[in-house]
Amino acid sequence: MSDTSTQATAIADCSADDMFRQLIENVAEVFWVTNHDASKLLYVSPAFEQVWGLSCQALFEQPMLWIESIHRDDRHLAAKAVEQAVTMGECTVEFRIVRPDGETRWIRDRAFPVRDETGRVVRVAGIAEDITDWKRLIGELRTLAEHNRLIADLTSDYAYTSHIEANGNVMLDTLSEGFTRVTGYTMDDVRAGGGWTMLIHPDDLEATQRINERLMHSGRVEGQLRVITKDGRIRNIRYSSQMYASVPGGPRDRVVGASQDITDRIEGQERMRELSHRLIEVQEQERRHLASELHDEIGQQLTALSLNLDAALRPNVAETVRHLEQARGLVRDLQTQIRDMSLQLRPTMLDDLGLVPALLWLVDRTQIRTELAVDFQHIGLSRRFCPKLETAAYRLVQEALTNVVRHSGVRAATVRTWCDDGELHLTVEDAGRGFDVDAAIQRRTSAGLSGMRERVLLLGGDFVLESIPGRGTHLAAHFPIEPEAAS
Amino acid sequence: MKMRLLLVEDHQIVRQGVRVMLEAEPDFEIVGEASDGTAALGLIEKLHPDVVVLDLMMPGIGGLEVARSISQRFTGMRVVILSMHSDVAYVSESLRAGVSAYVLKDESSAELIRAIRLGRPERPCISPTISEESLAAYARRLADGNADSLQLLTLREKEIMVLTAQGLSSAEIARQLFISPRTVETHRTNLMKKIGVRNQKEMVRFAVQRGLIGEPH
Repeated sequence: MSDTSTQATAIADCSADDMFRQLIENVAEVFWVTNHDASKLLYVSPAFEQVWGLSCQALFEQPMLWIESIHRDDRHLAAKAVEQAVTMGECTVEFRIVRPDGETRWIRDRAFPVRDETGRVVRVAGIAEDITDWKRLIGELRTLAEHNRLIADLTSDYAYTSHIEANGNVMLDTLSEGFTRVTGYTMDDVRAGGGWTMLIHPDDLEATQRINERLMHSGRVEGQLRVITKDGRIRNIRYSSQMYASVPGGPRDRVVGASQDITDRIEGQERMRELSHRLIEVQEQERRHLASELHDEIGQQLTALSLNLDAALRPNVAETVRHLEQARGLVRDLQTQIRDMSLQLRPTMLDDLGLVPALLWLVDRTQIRTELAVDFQHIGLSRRFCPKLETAAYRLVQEALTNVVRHSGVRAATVRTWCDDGELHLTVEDAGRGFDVDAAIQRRTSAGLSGMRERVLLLGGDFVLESIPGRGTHLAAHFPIEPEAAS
Repeated sequence: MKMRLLLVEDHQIVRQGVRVMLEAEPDFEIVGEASDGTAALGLIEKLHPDVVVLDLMMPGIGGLEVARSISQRFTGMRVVILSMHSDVAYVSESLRAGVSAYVLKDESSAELIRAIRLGRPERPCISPTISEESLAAYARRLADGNADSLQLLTLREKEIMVLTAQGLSSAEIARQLFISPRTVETHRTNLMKKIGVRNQKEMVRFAVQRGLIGEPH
């Protein structure tokens, strides 16, 4: 005989009451019954002892024990719930109890009135359930969600979740706040606008349309695209999305993804590229200049020298002396020219004598070659600085004076340099026609301006350039004297 | 008695040329040659020459440094600089290092020979292309002394100092000069640093002292 038929016989032998009692006495929930106004406890199931840590016997003997077992702060809730159950009907309440062993537990208690045929409340019954584990789980989930939200909001990035509908459409569920920071739009804007495509750059639209296909196919997709923000700016976004199953083992019906605004990085890279292009250009220009100077000036002089020496070798003594004298004159000219070229490339004074002698030389030379009158004053620079700083300061003044000569339309400039508080300060000023600084930097054609700025920033200094059209230009640089190596 | 010379020059061709030229003089004796500063100092210690003919530009310890250490440690030893730099800065710096003569490489050999015979630190022989006046002018320009703190101020900074001293606010100054109030503040911070005052009251006093504005009423 099988066990099943034995059990069936046993159940048949039992009365309905017995079965009911067995059920109530074996479940983890606490079942209780009181009289019509809940003033007297009539029944409590044995689970009470497990949950409360008190004996049922004690509860019958001391009716107040029930209210005393409830956490001080929650007693009013429990009392109110019972009262509500008596007067108004079913009521559910959650409260904490403190067990004799000091442990706190969360209880969910559902109370309901039991009425007779006339509708009069004759008893109040209830089911109390230990929900401590459930509460803890909910709390942990909440903390986790908060944690995730904070992380998502703290980064410059944003995260999103979507679900895939039966027809294959991907519907947006959540978007972290970073999205609004990056794009200016809210999730409602996106929904109202018909989804992601509303903010994608037209040129990238075609490529983006394949993202979903790729996602469905491989379960994961990442890439880069451009979006247009609410205020019309173009930002470069790097995204990656991953599909997952909302039910373990089920189909992959959810998408989680993260995006990152990489515009600044891209612009930085572009700027680096531009700078290195410019560097190469400047180098080529210098080489070209040097080559033509070597060929046109030095080469011609050497040819003349050679001709003079040839002539001097002819057997005519009077002529020989004349040709040798001419040759010596040519050699002197050559010496001067070569010295000049070398100084122009890099003034040796800067290495041998320091910044002020080099600047004095530069100022004199500028004055002679360009007729720019430079008023140069210095305080506290009768010392040497590190070579990087001296070079940067020198080149800055050189570049600035070149700009004054080329663009200011005036024939005068002032150069000031002084030291204090561990800083080297430098200003170059003219009262010329000035220019729109922002526009010049925007055009990015002014290799000089950004080059100057780079030099100063590289040494940890500040660079300030102010210009007023029609009133002049003021350039200032402030270098820390012992710059932290920004190699 | 012959004059004992030490030749210091890093370019061998130049050194040979100079040697040939100087050996032709019957009263000169070249007691040694060096191609860098360190070797030169060693030989000077050992040979005690009367005159050191010294190239200014050398790798490592340069001519200026060698000249300085000679004038500190060997009284009476003379240094004749042989240089390609006609720039007054180098001449000035060499004279400060106590050299007896400064001769340019592109001058005639007679100049070098004359300088070796006659140059004294107290009455140095300088290339005729470099005038006393230009040396004096350079010394003035090199010195800190000419930099009165008022001269450090740019025209714009002076303008702002005067307007501030006259009681105008940053916003009013900004309007008058067509710049932003923030720029006015920056200029004022810079100018106060330059003239070494800590607050606006001191700045006003400075402006009054220098006669930039009248006594405030």
